[in-house]
Amino acid sequence: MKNILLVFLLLFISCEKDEIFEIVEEPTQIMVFEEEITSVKDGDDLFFDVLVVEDLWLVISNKDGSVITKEVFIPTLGVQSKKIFTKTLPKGELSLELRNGTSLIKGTLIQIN
Amino acid sequence: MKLFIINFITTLLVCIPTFSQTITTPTPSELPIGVSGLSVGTFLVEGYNSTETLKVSISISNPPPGVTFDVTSTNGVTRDYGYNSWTNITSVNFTGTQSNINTSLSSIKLNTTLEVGAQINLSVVVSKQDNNVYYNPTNGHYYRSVTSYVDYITAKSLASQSTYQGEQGYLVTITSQDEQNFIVEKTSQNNIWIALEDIAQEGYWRVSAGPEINTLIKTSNGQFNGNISGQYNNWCGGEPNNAGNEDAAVTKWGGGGCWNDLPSSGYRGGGYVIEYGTSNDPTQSNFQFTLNTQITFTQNDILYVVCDFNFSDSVDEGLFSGKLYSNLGDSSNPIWNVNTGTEIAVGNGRSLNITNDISPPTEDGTKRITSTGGSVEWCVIYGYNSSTNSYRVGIDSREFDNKGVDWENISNLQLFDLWDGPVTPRSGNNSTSVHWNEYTIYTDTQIDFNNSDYGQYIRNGGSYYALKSNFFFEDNLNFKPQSFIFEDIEVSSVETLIDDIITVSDVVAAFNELSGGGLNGGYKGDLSGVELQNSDVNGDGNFDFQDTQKLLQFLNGGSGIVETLSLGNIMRIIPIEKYNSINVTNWKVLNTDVGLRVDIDITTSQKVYYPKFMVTWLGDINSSHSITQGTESKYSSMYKSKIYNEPSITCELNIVKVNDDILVTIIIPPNNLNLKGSEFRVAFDNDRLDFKESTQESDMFNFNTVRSTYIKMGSVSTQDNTSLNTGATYKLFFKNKLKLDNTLGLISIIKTELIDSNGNKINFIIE
Repeated sequence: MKNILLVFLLLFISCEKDEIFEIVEEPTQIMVFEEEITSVKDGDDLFFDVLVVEDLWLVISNKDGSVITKEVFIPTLGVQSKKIFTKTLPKGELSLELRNGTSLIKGTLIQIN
Repeated sequence: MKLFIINFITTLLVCIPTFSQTITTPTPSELPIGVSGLSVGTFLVEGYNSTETLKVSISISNPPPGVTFDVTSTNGVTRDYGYNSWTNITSVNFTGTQSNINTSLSSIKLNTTLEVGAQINLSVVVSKQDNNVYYNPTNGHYYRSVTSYVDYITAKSLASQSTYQGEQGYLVTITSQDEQNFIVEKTSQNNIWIALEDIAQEGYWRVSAGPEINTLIKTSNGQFNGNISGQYNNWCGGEPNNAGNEDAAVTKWGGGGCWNDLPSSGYRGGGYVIEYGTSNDPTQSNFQFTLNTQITFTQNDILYVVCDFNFSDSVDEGLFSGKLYSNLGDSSNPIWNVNTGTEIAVGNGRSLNITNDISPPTEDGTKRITSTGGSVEWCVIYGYNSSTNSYRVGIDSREFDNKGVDWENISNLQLFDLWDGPVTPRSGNNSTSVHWNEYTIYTDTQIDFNNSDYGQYIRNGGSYYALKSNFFFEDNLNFKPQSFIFEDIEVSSVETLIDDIITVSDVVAAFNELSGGGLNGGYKGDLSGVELQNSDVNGDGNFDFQDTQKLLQFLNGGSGIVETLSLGNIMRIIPIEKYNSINVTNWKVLNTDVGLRVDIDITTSQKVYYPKFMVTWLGDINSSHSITQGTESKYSSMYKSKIYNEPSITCELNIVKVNDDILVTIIIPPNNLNLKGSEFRVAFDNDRLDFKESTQESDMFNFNTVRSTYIKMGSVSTQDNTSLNTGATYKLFFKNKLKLDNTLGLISIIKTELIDSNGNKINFIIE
């Protein structure tokens, strides 16, 4: 019996390596523009910081640079939340930009699954 | 300790990463005899990184004499050293990315011979590309070419320390002429050390590595002295000669194809080759990261029918499938009966093998005559009658004696390789005094007597040809008329398809074509014959302003170009021979109907068919989604040349929330581009939004069609003096059903099109 337990223990340790000993603290809000790319599914919340209150645009473009959607909003100071719906968006990698007029403030990539 | 080792091994086994790459192969099948260019089907290699370079080996193992294959798509792939052709070959190794090799593999075409029953074992092997590593499809071994100049002892030692894909390496052993040829032809070095030595006993040459280690192949020096029967020897003239104590062997001596003996130590050869693999059966390969598959095709004297449906690249063929039917009625009153009921998908292959779906032929109560060469002239063929396009044929009536066959009940005749097809009895010509039962062969093509394989049995009598022949009688078999009928697709897919096919650029092209001669006055001449057929959307046999009116109605969401939106009302499938003959003057006469059925004529006298069809679409005036008749069409060539980047126009898009509504605004600024048409497709999330209304402001006719998941809208010029030079504004209002704040992605622009007066597409940039 002791031997069987030893086998299982060795298997467990060998395959799972040391992740089981790591304690990873998950952030409660992932700031989308601080990530290089974020995987997105229908209904996900996207978070980002805004430092100045003014008209802003969220622009999603495809790989060719063609704008697919461009939505204007007036933010409040601090962390913003946007619920993204993906039904009309093409699958794959898209560019997400936060713009002020025609100036780019922040940009990142989103992966629509 | 024992337990610990077991645990350790078990752990290793469990944790070894799995080899997740796969290859999907075509189904083994029978192939017709004596046919070149036979598609074998679709291969799909999956699981590799898309940018990774892969090595592929295609081969026919033990090919029946004369059987070869071609690889017809070779974009992005490179043949290995020593392989010099893509056509009429029995093996080829090449490299490329996963995507490119999939295209190449699926383009394999087999060339069969006349040998009935011969089996063709087509092998495909895929692995990651390693420089200087070569695959031998005959034995399934890999060979690594090492260019280091070392002596024999060192080469043997280094080779034995090498592994490849989990297989132990060894200095190359050459045990067959095929392997010798492979080393000679597929490696670029000369004077290559091989695992063969007589160190233990002078003149006794033994294999010194690999699966055949210690095998004695020769018992005396000299080219042929002591060569052991059944063992492979390939010495150069006068070798081995042990000149100065030479106990090891090289191949490709001096660049040739034979062996020489050289000193085993202190003498550097021209490099060496490491061999990997133990079994000589490629299908028993143990290489960890190699995909290995073999498909067996059998040559047979069979009916073989492969349809080729040519869709434009801008149409997704994956939408389409169909079934094969037989007409149990007649042409005026057809009764379509599905044959096997197998639904055959067009997919990306486009070629549909329908051989197994053809209903077998049935007896029709008449007889067929077949012939072989004989010693008596029992048959005569008189000269061609060009006024009736026919031949008069006589068969001696004594050939019918005691056969129980009524000469008038003959409907089909095979005369050597001269004619195989229907005949009509000539009444009143079977006089017993002349002994001839006579028939008429109707054919537009004259028989080529001079190039017949049966020349020794044919005599040219001046006004007739006499045939030394024997005749046989059998029941005549006929195929019912066969047709491939496409399945219709669901209405929402038809909607999207037709919205993709018929856009504002088609309408601009139609108006432009009619501007040549005024109202119903004539054409400008920019459209090909097929495009003119596509333009006749109301099907009255003319292309005129009634058709452009229908097209406008279609853009504007009216009754549309067809009463009922279905695939069968817009799809046009034209046999290639007819398609190629349609031009701007005969298109009305050669009218081709829209519909889902194509007829495939099968007769018992022919075995192999490659019917080819071109797919065009009603309303596709600029051929953007149809097979183009390139040389005649101005619009198709311009549209497809993708002149998208210059000139361009920057437009404005804004999506803004107004209370519970969402307002979408698209603005085309004032410009000097003489735009004659604009079209946008605005997709919306219909689970969360309701479309309310739209407004359009321009100097042209504005159109608008509401579909369940998108709005199609834009403007088109119906008169020469209108354009979008002053700009245009389009607005759409949507009701937010869920009253959600802070949303993103509920609306997107999925298609845009701007077209100028010359039919050029203008690049549409949104800022």
